Amino acid sequence: MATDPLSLTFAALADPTRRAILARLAQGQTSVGELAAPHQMSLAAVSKHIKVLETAGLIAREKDAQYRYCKLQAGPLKDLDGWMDAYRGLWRDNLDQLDAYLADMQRGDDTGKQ
Amino acid sequence: MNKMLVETPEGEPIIRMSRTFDAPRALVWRAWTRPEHVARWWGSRAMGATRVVKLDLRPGGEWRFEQTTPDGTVFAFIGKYIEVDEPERLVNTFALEGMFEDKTVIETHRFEEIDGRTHYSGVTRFDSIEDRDGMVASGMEAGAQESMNQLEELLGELVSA
Repeated sequence: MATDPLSLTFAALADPTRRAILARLAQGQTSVGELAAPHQMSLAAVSKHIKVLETAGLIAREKDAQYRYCKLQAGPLKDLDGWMDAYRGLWRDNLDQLDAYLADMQRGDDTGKQ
Repeated sequence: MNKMLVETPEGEPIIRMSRTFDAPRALVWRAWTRPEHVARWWGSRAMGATRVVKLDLRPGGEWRFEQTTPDGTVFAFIGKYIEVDEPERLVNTFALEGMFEDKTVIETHRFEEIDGRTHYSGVTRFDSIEDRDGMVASGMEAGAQESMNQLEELLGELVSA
């Protein structure tokens, strides 16, 4: 399983319910019950989504006296600049890999010659 | 090792990238636009092998590259070609399926041949910074620089992993 932070972040965000939860938390901390309310799913199902977000470091669960709540983490994706960062990282890899591949092609490993 | 130049002008939702490849332009274009070649270099290695599902190289044509992580999560990078001007210019949209799909990302790739080498320059335009910040970030501290630094670290880990 890919456990590097970037993959975890992508995986956590690749779900509309989880994105909705993040959008809600961006407006302030709240309880799991309140997070679950707008979604037509069980509390247990919502808790699973929360767990995924927590593992990715996007949110934190805290306890204040008897009150338990979730809040957005100033973590891997504070805002959509994270998307630009991920994009930039992808292309940095891509161009490095293309450079190496072009060298392979020119050594005669090119299978797509016209 | 890093011969790539990346610029992110402050206050502008664009990323500029440039790099010089030690290969003629026709070859770079071929590597960039043919499925069998794209699968060999495109994608984050940390996320697994890249499968070129679709690459319809004409204006309006769609592309779809998928990566499957070892735990079975599929990431589909998708888009449409807007301009195809072989061998010097390619414009396409870019998105990650299911994530920020309401955000428009347009990539403009330019290839220039100089003394048998190819100078690549790419400009990626994101939605306005206001749009970007509006979705998740409302009410949060910006901290763009901090998240950039975090990603630098992440990338360092990915590269050395």
